[in-house]
Amino acid sequence: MRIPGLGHGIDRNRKVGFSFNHRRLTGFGGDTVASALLAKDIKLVARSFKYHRPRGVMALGSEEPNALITVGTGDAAMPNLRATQVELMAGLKTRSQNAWPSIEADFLAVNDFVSPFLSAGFYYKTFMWPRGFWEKLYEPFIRRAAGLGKLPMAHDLTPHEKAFAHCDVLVIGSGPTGLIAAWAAAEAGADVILCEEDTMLGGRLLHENEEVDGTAGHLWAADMSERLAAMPNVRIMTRTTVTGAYDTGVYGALERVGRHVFSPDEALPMECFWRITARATVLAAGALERPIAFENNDRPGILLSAATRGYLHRYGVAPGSRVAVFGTGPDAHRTARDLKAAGVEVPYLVDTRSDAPALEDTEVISGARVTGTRGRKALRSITVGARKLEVDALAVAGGWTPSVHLTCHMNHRPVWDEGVQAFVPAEGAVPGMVPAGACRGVYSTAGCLQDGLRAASDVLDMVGLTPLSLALPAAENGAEVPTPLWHVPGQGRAWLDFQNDVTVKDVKLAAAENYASVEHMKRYTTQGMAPDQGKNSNLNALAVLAEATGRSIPETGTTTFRPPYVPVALGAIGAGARGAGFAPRRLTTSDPDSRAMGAPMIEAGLWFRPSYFPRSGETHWRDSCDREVKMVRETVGVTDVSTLGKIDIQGADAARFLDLVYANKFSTLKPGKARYGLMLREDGHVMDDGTTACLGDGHYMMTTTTAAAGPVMSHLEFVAQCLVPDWDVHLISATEQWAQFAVAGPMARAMLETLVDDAIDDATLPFMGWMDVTVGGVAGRLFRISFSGEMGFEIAVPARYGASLFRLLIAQAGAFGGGAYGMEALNVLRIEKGFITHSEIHGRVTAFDVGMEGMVSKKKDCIGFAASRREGLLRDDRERLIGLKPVAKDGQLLAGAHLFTQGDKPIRVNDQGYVTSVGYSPSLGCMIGLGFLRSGPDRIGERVRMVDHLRKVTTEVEICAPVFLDPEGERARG
Amino acid sequence: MVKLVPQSPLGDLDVTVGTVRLREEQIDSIWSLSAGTGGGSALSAALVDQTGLPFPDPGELYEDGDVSTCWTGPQQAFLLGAAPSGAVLAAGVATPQTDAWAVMRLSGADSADVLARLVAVDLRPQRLGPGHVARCQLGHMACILGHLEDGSWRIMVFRSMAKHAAEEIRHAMDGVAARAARPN
Repeated sequence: MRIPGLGHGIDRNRKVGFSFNHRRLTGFGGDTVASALLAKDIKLVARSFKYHRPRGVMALGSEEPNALITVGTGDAAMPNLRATQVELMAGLKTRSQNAWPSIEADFLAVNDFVSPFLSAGFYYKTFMWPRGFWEKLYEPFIRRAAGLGKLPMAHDLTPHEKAFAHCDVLVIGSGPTGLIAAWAAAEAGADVILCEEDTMLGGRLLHENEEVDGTAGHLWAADMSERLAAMPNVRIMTRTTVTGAYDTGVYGALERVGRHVFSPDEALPMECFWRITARATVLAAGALERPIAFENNDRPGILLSAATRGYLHRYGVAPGSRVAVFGTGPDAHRTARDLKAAGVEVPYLVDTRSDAPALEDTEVISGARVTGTRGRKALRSITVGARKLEVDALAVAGGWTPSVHLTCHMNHRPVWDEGVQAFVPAEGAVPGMVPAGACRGVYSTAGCLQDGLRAASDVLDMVGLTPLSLALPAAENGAEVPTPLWHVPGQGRAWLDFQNDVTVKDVKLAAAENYASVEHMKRYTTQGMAPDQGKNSNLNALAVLAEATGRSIPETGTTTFRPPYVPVALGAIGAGARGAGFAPRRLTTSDPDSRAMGAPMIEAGLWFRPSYFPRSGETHWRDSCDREVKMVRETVGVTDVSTLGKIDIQGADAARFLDLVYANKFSTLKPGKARYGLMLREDGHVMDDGTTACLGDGHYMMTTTTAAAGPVMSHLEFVAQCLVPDWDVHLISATEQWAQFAVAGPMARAMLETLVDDAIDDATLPFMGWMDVTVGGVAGRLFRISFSGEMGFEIAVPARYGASLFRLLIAQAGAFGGGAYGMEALNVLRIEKGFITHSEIHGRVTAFDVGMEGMVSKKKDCIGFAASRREGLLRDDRERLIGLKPVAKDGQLLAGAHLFTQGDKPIRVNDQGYVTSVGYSPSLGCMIGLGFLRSGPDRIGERVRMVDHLRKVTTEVEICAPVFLDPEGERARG
Repeated sequence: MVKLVPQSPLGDLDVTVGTVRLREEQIDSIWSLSAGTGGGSALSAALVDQTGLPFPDPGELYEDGDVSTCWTGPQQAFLLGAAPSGAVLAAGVATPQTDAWAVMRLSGADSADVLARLVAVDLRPQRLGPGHVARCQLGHMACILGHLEDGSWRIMVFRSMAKHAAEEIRHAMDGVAARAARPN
C-alpha cells in the first residue's frame, strides 16, 4: 500500500498507467513495476522455476530472485526482466511468466505437491534410462515444465549498441563510498567514470532514513550528483551495471538506454554494452541483505528488511498493513522503527538475540525464530514456536553479504572475514581495483565515506595524482555485525536459492550423498546457478553445507562468480553483428556494373565477386559458365582481378628480399618483366603463389592470391622487421590502389589495341612482360600474364577509373564477340590448364607435391628451403598433383571425394588420395578435375575409383597429367 | 578518343544526423613515404622544404592548409594533398596511395561519441587530441584515424570497404542522435 508523505523517488503529480497480466494499473513516475505492484497490494507476481511456487517481490534491485517478468508483447517481448528494475512508463505491458494457464491457477504447481520426488539429483537418478529417452522425452518435458520466460521465436530486431570508454578512475557504485571516492578522484584532477546500476546516484542513501552532513541522505546524494555532473572530468553513467572485470583494466558494462522510455526513434538502442578501460578502479558495489532459510520462507509478502525500508522511503510503499519483522540484530529494529514511524502496524519483531531491546507498541519476541508461514498466494500468518501470528507481510533481516562478485572475475576467491562473518575481497584480486565500503564489510555510512576517501587516495596514487585534503561529511557511525542465523532447523522446505528452487534439504542431501565439496554441491543442487548467480543464497548455502559436513565456512570455501554480474542480452553483446554480420564487405569498382548485368555475387574472403553473367535464354549457371569458357577460348573475355593482393616492394635490398621469401630466384628479373613465384612457409610447405613484376631497379610489384593477400603481407612484414631488420626493404599494400582486369582470349590483343595508345605486339610486350600504357587518357600498367592459358593481359588503372574502364572493356569485348566472365568460368579455364589455387595449395602440400619441386632454387636459400628438403617431404609415394577424367564421358567428378585403387574397398585405410577441384570442360566435353594421388605422376593412365561417401557417388576415373589443354603453352605465348 | 571517368569511393557522401556530419573528403593526392638508406632526417628535411611539414613521429599528424603529413606505421607516413617533390622522392621511398583509400571527415559536437561506438582507442583529448593519429580498427576494418586541428576526425579506410564503413558510421550516428533526443 502507498504511504502518504513518503517516497522521495516518486512524482505523485505524474500518474503512469501500465498493465500487469492484462490488468490495468496506475503508479507514479519514478516507480518500478515492483514498487507499483506492492503499492496496489499485488503480492503474487511470479511462479518459481522448478516447483511453480507462488512468489512475490523480495528485494529491491538487480538481486531480485523472484519477480522476473516479461515486458512487451509479441515479437518484441523481453523475458526475465527483474520487476525491481523495470521502470514504469505509460502504456508499459508486463506479465508473469512460467505459469500456465495463469499466475493464479498454474497447472504446473503440481510440481510443488510432488516435490518429495523432485529433490536434488532427482533428474540424474531418475532419467538415466532407457538410453534414448533423455533427448527425446525427458529433456523436452523438463524444459517445458521448468524454466524462465519464453523468448519470442522471431529474430530479435531490437536495436542495441556497443561502445568504448576510457578513464583514469572508474568508480563502480554510487552509494556513500562511491560518491565520495568519485568526488575525491575528480577533485584531484582524474578523469572519472562513475557507473551506477540504479536510475539515480545514492545507493543505500536512497533507501534509508538517515542524515549525511546534516541533511537527508538522499538529498546529500542529489547534491553530490549535481556537483559531480558539473565537473568536466566526470562522466556519470546511471542505469549502467558493470558486468565483468577483465585484464588490463578493462570492464564490461551494460547500460539500459531505451527500455524505460517510449521513443518514436527506431534507432534508439535498448541497451548499450560498454567496454570501459580504466587505469584504476574503485569498487563500491555495496552489500546485499541475506534472507534467512526457514520453513516456507518464500511466500509472497516476505521481503528483505532493507528492501522493505527502501520501498518505504523511496517509493512510499509498505508491503502490507500488518508487518512482522524477523532478524538477527539492529537492521530488524531499524525496519520496525521506520515502518511504525510511517504509520504501518508492526505487531511483532522476532529477534534471534536473547537480549533484544524492547520497542514501543511492538511485541519483541527475543531469542526466537520464525519456524513456518501460512498463506499460499499471500502471506497470512507466521509461526513462532507454538504461536501462530496473523500478519500480511514479513521483513527478514539475515545480515549482509558484501558484493565481491567483480573481485572474483580474474580467478581470485574472496577470503573469510570473521569480524563481519562474510567473505570479503582478496587483496589485489583484480589489478588496479581497490574495493571500498560495504563490499569489503564496512557497513556504517561514516565508515563508508572514510573508506571511499581511502580508496580514492589509493587509486590516485596509481594514476600519479595527488589527493586533495577533503573534509568528511558527518554521518551515522557504528554498525554492529550480529551473529548470523543461516537457517532455522525444521522439517519442511526452507528456501536458500529462490531462483533455482534449492532448499536446505537439498544441500543436506548433497552432503549426505557425498557431494561434500562446495563445487559438487553447487552442481548437484544447482544452487547459485540461476541467472542471479546466487546473489542472495550463496553464503547461506555454504553455511548449511559447512554444518552438514562438520566444517567451518572458510574450510568449506566458496564457489566463484563469473561475468556477467547481471544477465546481458545476447543482442547487446553482439550489437553490430546481426544479419550479414560485422565482416566488412569489400566491393570492387566493377561491383555495381556486375550486379546490373545480373551476376550473382559470391564471397571470396571478404570480397564479393561475380559468379557468372547470365544472358537471356540461359536457365542454369552451367549454361552461362560454358558459354563464358568458350568465349575466352574463342574470342575475348574480361574479368575483374582487383581482389588479388598487390604489394609494392622497394629498396636497395628488395631483390634479395624476394629471393628470401620466394622459392625461386627473383634477383635476376629485369625491369619490364614479370615472373611466377612460389612462396614457402618456414615448414617447407607452400604458402602462396603469384606473379611479381619488376617495375624498376629495386622496385617490384608482388601479386598474391585473393585469399592470402593479408597473410602474405603479414608474413613479409614479419620477415622484414624480425628476420632481416637491417635490410633496406619498404613494403606497402597497393591492392586497393589499382583496379585490375584480366583480358584473355585469342582476340585479347586486338581488342586492347583499340583502347591503349601504345604498341603492344609481341616484340614490345612479350609473354611475362609488362609496360606502362595510357588508356582513356589515364596512365596505367599492362601485364602480359595469363591465368586462362589464352593470350592474356591484365590492365591496371588507379581505382577511381576502375568502373569506367570495366564498362569500356565490356563494351569493347562485345564488339569482338566477347564479354565478361565470372569466377565459375575462371575456375574451369584454370583447371583446364592445371593452374593451382588454394584448393590445391591448401596448407598441407609441398612444392614437390604440386610438381613444382624444380622451382625451389638450390642456388640460394629461401624461407622454407631447409624444411622442404626433409626426406619425408620428397618421397615419391606422397599424394601428388594429378589430373582426373571420368572414364565414361558423362561421369561425375566431385571435389572432396576420395580416390581408391580399383578392387580395393573404399575405406579409410585404402585411401589413395582426394579430389580438390572439378569443373565441366566445354573444350573436352566432360568433367575434369585436379587432385592428389599417392605416387600420382607415376600412375598416369591408370584407372581408379572416385568415391564420395557423403554424396554417395562413385565414378571410375582415369589419371592424367594435370594440364588438359595446350600443354606447350603456345596459346598464351602467342 | 575515349576518356575514363574518375569516381570517388563514396560518391560525395555528405550526411548530417543530430550534431554530427559525415562527408567524403576529396584528397587529390596521397602518397606513402618511408625513409630510404639516407635516414629519416634527410627525408624530413626534404618534406619541410616542400611542404613546411616534417616527417611525423609515431602518432603525429601535421597540417598546413590542404596539405598534411601523418604517421601510418613503423617508419612510414602519408603525405596528403601534395605529390612528393623530386627531393622527397630522392630522400625516401614513395608509393602512390591516392586511390587506395576512402577518406571521410566526421565533425560536430557528438562526433567523438559516434566514433566511440566503432573504435576501441582512447579518444580523449589528452590521448588523441588534434594533431594526433592512430592506426586502429573501425568496427572490423583497418583504419587510419586522424584528429585534425579544427576538432574534426579524418577517417581513412580501404576503398573497397568505403560503403560498409560509411554504413557503420551512419548507424552509430543514428544511435547517438536518438540517444540525445531520448525523452526524459
